[in-house]
Formats: sequence, structure tokens, C-alpha cells
Amino acid sequence: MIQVENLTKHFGPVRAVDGIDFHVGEGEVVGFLGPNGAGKSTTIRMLTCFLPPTAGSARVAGYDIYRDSLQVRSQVGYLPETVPLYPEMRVREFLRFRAALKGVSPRKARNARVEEVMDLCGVREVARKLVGHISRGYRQRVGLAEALVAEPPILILDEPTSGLDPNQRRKVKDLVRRLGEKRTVLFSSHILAEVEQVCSRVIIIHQGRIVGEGTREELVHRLAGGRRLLVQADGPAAELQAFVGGLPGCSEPRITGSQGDFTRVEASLEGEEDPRVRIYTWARERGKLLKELALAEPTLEEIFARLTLSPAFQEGEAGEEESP
Amino acid sequence: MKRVLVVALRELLAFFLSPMAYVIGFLFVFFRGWETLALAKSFADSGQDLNAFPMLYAMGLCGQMMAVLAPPLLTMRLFAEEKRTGSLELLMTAPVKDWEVVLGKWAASLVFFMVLWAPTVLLLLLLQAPWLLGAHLAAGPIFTVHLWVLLAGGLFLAVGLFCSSLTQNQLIASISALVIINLLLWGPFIVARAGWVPAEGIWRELFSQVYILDHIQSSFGLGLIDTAHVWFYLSTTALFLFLTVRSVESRRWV
Repeated sequence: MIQVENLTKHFGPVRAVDGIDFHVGEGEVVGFLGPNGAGKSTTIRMLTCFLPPTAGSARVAGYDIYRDSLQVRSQVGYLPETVPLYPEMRVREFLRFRAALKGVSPRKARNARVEEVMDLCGVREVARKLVGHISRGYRQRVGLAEALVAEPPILILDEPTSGLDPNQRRKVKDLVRRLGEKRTVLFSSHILAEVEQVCSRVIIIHQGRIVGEGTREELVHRLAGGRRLLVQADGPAAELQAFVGGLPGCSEPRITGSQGDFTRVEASLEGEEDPRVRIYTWARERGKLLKELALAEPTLEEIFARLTLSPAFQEGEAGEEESP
Repeated sequence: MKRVLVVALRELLAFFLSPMAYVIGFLFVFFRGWETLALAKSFADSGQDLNAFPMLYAMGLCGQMMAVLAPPLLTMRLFAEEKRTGSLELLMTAPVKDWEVVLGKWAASLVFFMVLWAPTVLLLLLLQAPWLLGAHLAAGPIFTVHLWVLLAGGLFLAVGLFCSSLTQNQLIASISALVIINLLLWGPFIVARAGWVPAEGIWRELFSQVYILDHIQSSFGLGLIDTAHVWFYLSTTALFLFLTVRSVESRRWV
């Protein structure tokens, strides 16, 4: 539904978006992740036809964002980052205006649709309030209702949960998840936990380039040494360390703590290796006590940190991204 | 075309909700009434020929202020505020063409401008009372004077809209509009006073087309409708609206 090729945006000498490629398939919910200033909003503004690309192209629902901008806009429901609504209008009035602008007609169907999205997004209780007087959480949801009002097949949401309290955030997340059942959703955020919960696939962007893409499992898999092995057993520390270091797939065993007789060793684990049974057998044979034995999958947060903090790594990943 | 109406209705609503509009409206009606009655009194006292009344009515300070000051104040918000708050992004990512937005906003400002003038109709009805002027006021010149207000108002609002589309700052928008409007209004007057206008020929012809103040004296104030003059307002308005569309569109220039 969204096909991006070599999309580039320069603001003077600043390369906000630097030749990115990705695609979002029909019915997918894709997270668009990146630290602040990574180029998320700029990319989204190009996809929603607000800004023109400097180079490259993108197709949304089969239409070119530059040449068929009107068709693209009629297929996309967009929630901008700052949720700029007209403060002097009442919520219901605003939604009716937007529905009319987006060509939802006739009037009866339009009004019914507005009531429907107000229920869906939980803003009925503020329907008669002025947009300027409602809380941030409601504003966000009114913005979401606005994006949905013309029943677009594609939703592009720019940080829909920013500035919300945890309860409001959960409501928005649940809503997005439900919406994603029938629609294609591109969801930008810098909060990883959220993306992990809502999205089936993640695109990580940093300094205008894509540094990682895939499902969480794929990202974990691709990042060799991403998983860690944790062992805590009694006995001499050096012996445990040497044993763990000798296991297939294990490298860089480090002693990360000790408690009485127990020593804790952490090691990086490559590929699909799972040496836990071997460790257990080893400990039983030697009469050792095991206090901890675990495989730690890296969280998206760790992957994100790794991709966006170490410059050496970015180069490698970015190079890999270009080949398929 | 339907979307023009949707945009216009929203803007009109915003006008009716803004305190600024009511302040302008109140001041105008108050001073206009005062000014008109003073004018009527001077006519009644001196027994002057009433034919000059519509022209002086149109050229009255308050009417001038209304034609010159109100458009920049009414239009300064239209694009500048949307740019500042970012709602332009939401507006322009809806499936609506740039010209539909521009035309809708301009139409709304024109309708509201006319709404501000509407109460002065009561004044004119009052002037028909025999004890005020002592004679009947001809309807023709009164009508053409108001036609001028409508045409010039449309032009000045288009200028204001254009200025608003250039900046995020409402103050800059209104002041630059004020400068352009005054240049349009007084520029030809100054040129004429300085004696730079040739006595005849194409330049003379051209000059008389753009001499707005002279339009009132030579046609609209006398109850005449000169289609060449009407054409000047319509085409210049169209020019400024076109420039506004280009300015709004410029965000998508690579």
C-alpha cells in the first residue's frame, strides 16, 4: 500500500531524509521508529503530500505522491504530530467540517459517520466542547477520529501517543491495534514499548536513513550476538566462566556479579544456539547448584540503542539494507 | 466547487466567533452613523444639491477607513494563523485543491465584509425620512456607491489574503496588506498630483483605469457603472487570488 523508493528530502544543506526505501503491505501495522530529529515526520509529510520530495518517489495506494497528490490524500487518514485542530470549533462541528471537506456525503451519512467515529475514539463526552478547551488526551483522540472519518484504507499516525499519560496511551494503543485489523497503518513513535505492542513490523530510521527493518524476531536474528545467556551457579568463578566460554555459540563470557558462593556469568549467544540443557547437565554432574539459567532476548529498546548509538554499526546496517 | 463552500462556511463561522470582527463591526456602525448624520445635517442646513451626497457618503472618512483598514484586519488571520499553529498541514493534506481553499477563504471574508456593511442599510433608510434631508435621495448613486464598496472590498480582501499567505505573522500580514492597499488607492492620486500623467494617449487611458479614487468621482459616485472600471476590480482581484494560490502552492515547489 505504501511503496517508498530512494525518498530524499534536503532542507538547504541539511539532509533530513537521505534516500530511504521501504514498503508497507496491505493490512500491515508498521512502526516507524527513530530518535527525535531522525526524519520520521519529514518522511510522513512527504507521504501525505504536504512536502515534496527532493529526490526519489513514493506510491501510496498505487498513486504517486507528487503527481496524483489528490488521490493519495483521499486514501490517507493523517494525524500530524502536533494535532493542530481549530480551537474555536466544537468537537462535533469540527469533525463534521472535516468529513465534508473529505467528501463524505450526503449530509445524513456524514453526520452518522461522525457519530460513529466519536464512539469509536471515545470522544462522545466532549462532542459539545470547544476543541481549544479539551485535554491533550482528548485532542489526540479527536485527531484520530478526524483521520478516520472518511474511512481511509491507510492511516498515517505521527506520534499519536506523545504527551499522553499512561492510561490515555493505553487507550490510544488499543484503538490503533483495533484499527489495524482492517487497515494499513504506519505508526511513528520514539517510544519502543508501544511499537512492540502494536506493530507487526518495525522500520528504524536514524539521521535520515533506514538502519533496521523487519519484525522484532527478524531484527533480533539479524543482529548477531543479540541474545544473551545468563548463568548463576556456585563454585569457583573462573571455572564457570571458562565453561560458559567453551559452549558452542557462546562468546565474551563476563562475570557480572557474585553473591556468597554464587557467581553470575553473562555471555553473548550467536545464532539459534540454546545451551541451557547442557549447562543443567553439566551442573548436575558436578553437583553444582544453579540459581539462574536464562536466555535474554534483546528488547526492541536494546536493538534501537544499538542501531542509533554506535556509528560503526550504522554504516554496516545501512549498507546491508541497500542490497535486497 | 462543493469544497469551496465547505471551506467558506468554516471560515465564516470562525469570523462570527472572533471578537475582533465584533469590535470592527461595532466601531464601524457607531462612527458611520455619526458621520452620516453629520453629513446629512450639513446638507440640510446649507440646502446643497443632494446629487453630491452619495459621493461624499462613499468618500467619508469612516467609509474609507472601513474599505482600507478592515480588509487587512479581517484577512490577516486566514493563512498566517493556520501556518503558525500548523493546522495548514491538516488542511492541505485533505483531498482539497489549493485554489478551493483560497477561494473559500476569500469568499468567506467577502461575505463577512458585507455583513459588516449591512447595518448601514438602516442608515440609508433613515435618510429617506423627509425631516432629515428635506428631500428624497436618489437610489441609483447609492446603489453604485455600494457596488464600489463591494468591488473594492473584494480586491482589498484578496490583497490581504495574499499577504497572509506569505507569512506566519499576522502583524506582518496586516501591515504589508495595508501598504499595498494604500499604494493602490493613493499611488495614482500622488502620480496625478505630481503631474506625471500624460494628457492623452494610451498611458492616459491606462492610468484612468487604475485610478481608484477617480472611479468614485467619475462613475460610481454619480450612479454610473463603467464596465471598464468594474473589469479593473474583477481582474485585479483575480490576479491577487491567483498569486495567493501560487504562494500556497509554493510549499510543494522543489
